[in-house]
Amino acid sequence: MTCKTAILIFPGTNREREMITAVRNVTMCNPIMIWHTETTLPPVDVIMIPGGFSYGDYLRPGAIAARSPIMQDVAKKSQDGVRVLGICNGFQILTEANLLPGVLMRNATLKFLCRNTYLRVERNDTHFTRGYHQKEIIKIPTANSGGNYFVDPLILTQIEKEGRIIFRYCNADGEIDDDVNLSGSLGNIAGIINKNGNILGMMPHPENSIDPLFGGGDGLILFESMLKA
Amino acid sequence: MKIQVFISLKKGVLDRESQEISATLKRLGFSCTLGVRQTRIIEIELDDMPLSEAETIVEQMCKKVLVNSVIEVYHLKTEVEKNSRMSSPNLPGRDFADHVSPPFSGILNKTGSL
Repeated sequence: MTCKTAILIFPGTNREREMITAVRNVTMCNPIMIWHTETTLPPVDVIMIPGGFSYGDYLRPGAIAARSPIMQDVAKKSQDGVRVLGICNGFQILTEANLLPGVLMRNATLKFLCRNTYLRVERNDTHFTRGYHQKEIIKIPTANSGGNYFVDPLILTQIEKEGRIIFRYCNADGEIDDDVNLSGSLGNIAGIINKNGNILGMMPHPENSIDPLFGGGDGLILFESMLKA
Repeated sequence: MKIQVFISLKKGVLDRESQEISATLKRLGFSCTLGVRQTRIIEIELDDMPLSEAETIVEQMCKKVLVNSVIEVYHLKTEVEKNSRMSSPNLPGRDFADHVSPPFSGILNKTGSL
């Protein structure tokens, strides 16, 4: 059985094509594309928010998109247990919508980072990562200028304690150090999950790593994990 | 009526852009530069209304969208226009704002944090 998927589109979204391909590859079905002015989502099992520069990053990345009409229903559906995946700008939108804690700031290097990054899978008992091995090292491309995860120290301690950090930037051997943390994220955080375990936000792009002919297939496992019930 | 919202990063939040500006100023010979702090200003024009009501509305705007309380703080500055209906209800034909003290003229400050 495969999951019905909706992909949200905002003005400035630009990674939806890769996401559609990833969903099609796994489910053999087309996802439903939802324009941000819609107020109600159709019945779906999964909602995806792609990367890009929604609203040109005006005010703060993801700030305007997070207040779009459709986001109220995303919040409601997520409370009902619908799985939500936000990638890159999608992650920024989820934090701005208060569906995930923290904020994504400008990279500490002040550079647009576009390269392959190694991530360590911190937990493989989630809807999103069950296809990976515990502490598996995966290679996923990163492309952003605002992936510097920041959160209040008390909340950081809390999410660490609750095991809500799902991906951390690491080197090829899985070691967590500052040299590989070019964005400057606290705790080398690349992806976090909400308390109920049904909302994942991550900065790197698994949808760009779904075919060995295009640099690797590590990202496909994430889509298989979350789309195959 | 115009209200300005000054938004800056909280103390303790790494402000790499300001650090870079500071480093550039020093490199250009301004060795006296001790530090730089960037602030974003959003000017909001509002219908005429009592000042307290206007500030309450802008506070709501800040909490709802303009400010991210995880990393940012803000304060407000209010400018009341000279010919504002509010400023001269009892003195038709006179530029009331020139003759009175705040709160009916000039700039008022209010600091807010979320």
